[in-house]
Amino acid sequence: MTSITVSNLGKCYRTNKAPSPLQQLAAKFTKKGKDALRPARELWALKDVSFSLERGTILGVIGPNGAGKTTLLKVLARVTPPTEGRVVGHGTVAPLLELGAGLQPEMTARENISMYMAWNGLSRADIEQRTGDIVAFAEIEEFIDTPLKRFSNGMYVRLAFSMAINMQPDVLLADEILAVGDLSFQERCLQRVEEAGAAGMTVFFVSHDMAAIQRLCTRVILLNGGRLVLDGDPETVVNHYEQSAWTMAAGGAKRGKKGSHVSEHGEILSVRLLSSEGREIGAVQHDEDIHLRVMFSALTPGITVRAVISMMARGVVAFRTPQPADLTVEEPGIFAIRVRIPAHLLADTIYTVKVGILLVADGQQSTLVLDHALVFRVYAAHDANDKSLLTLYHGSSWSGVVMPQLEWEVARERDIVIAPA
Amino acid sequence: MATLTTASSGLQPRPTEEWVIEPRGRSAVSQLREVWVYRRLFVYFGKRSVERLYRNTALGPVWLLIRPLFPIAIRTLVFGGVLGVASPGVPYFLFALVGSSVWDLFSSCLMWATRSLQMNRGFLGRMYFPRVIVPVATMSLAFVNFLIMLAVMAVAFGYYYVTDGRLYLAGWSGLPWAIGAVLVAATLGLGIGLWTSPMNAQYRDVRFTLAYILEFWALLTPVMYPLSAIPPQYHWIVFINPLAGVVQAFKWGVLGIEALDPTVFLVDVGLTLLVLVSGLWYFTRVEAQAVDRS
Repeated sequence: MTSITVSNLGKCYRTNKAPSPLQQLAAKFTKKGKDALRPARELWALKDVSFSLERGTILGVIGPNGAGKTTLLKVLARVTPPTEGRVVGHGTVAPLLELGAGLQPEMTARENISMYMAWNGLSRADIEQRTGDIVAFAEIEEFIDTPLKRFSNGMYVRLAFSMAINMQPDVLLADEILAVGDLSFQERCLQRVEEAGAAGMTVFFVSHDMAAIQRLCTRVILLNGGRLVLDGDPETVVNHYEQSAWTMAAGGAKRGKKGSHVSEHGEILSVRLLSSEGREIGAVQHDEDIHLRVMFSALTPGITVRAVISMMARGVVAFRTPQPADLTVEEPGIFAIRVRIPAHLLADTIYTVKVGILLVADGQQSTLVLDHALVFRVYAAHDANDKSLLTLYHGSSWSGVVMPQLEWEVARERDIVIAPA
Repeated sequence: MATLTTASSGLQPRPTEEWVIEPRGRSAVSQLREVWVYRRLFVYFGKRSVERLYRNTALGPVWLLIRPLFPIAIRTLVFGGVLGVASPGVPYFLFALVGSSVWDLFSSCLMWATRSLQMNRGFLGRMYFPRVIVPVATMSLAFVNFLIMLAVMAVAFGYYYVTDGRLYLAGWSGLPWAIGAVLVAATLGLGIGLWTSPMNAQYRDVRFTLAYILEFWALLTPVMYPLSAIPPQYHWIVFINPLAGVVQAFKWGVLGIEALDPTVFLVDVGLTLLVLVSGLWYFTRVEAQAVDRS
């Protein structure tokens, strides 16, 4: 059964303020007034967006900042009207926009909950019944009669999420709900959304966390500049996005003339991910060797170079690898660093590569740094046909930032005899 | 019916009703139907408005008393004391109190309704509900004021009963007039407010201009002076102002002075309904854009 159909949706904001009635009047009668009346500049936050969702779809909405993700959710939440197009939907909608939207800091948690329920047209008896669930899931039992302004950020977010999901809406609009909150709550959030989707709730899940998107979503749309760029299964769309995000980062490094990756002594020119055959790639398999190639220029004769590469995953530095020895540059030139990352080291997650190059010339030292030099994803399984038991651990709470294949030994110690029943 | 939510228990499978989002917004009728689903928000917005007004004040609820009474005391001193305006058959303070109470109800209903969208902008940008609830609920501030004035009125009637030995209150027959006047005053305030609040969300000028208009309008209305102070042949001019009929009806209903021609009041009722209906039409048509651009 179709849950939501979006057709040719467009939302235009005027960046120049529309002329006030007084200005319009002035424009009618005076030359000067007419000159002052510049046409308002239009900015299409959404344009020609169309898609249709079945019930129970968990739709990932991804794209760079300013792509129109939040605007799409705001239109669906009916807090801002579209400029063109049409949306037909079914059932109740619970928005979770701008974390904790609609919560009142002056009111206590209990008052906020009953307010929110009233908002959704629930009866008093229903409110009584659900307040317990909401408070328990948000883990704020002791603070139920505390005004929200005394809440920590995390408590605030937990309450907001718990209220929305416990409404059991037909459609949940979740905008960056993972941005705040500790890991254990994030995990429970994801589980709860997963369950809700399985139970038929349609979820719009806006996030920059590609691991969460891949784990949770049954379908993903990629927005860019207000347009729907790609619509498909999570793997394809996330891959496409990361390839392009990767191109952007590497391209930026090539073109950039300012920034800390350039100095008078040298410049980081590009950072690439290569397969063992030397092909440029954007995603890798857990069991493949890969190479990082960093191109840099050294411009001052006689400088000493020492580079380090850090791999970031899940918000922490997974590991760093230093250049084993200093390199002294006799003549200016362009150099390539190749680092082999062995198979069975990286975990099935998303890595961001940070490159730093320390340059020492005449006792003077400078550092070239390229944050977010490259973003890539590691997959644990080759394809959907991989039936090994390892796949059961993928994307679950078992994952970490590295998954090294250590020396394992599993052997039979002794036999046991099981008596027939 | 295009409601967003159903009031049935969410724990059972609900009928999933279809809804449509379009640039033009929905018709006034379908929005008004939806108001019922969200009816509990009236209480919430009402409470919130009153609480917000007196939050972080040292005197707190004492302001509830001072705000309406202080202007009346001044008016009594100026009009009744210094200028010596006559009040037919009742003490001037009582006369001024009764007239002011219904006028203030009208003007503060209009003022709060006008400011309501702008005051709650943060909310409107985050949650959906029929926006028309906001101006109506914000008028609760005007009603709180009015109730306090009624209480003061009761005390004043008691005081004059003891000192003058007379109860100035009109009989029960006046009650329908008094209630009618209150309803028309509030509804007319709302009706005009439905026009002005979306405008005010975009241009704050509306609110300032309105404050001056109301000040002038109060002088055109027989609030501080009796109708008998104006020669009878000019009464029709006075009654062009719909508030004149409303104020006179309230004075007649409460104090039993200066009987009112029922047709004047009926015309006021008709006009009020016209303003209300047109206001609802206008408001539901433009509120979304107004909030968007504010």
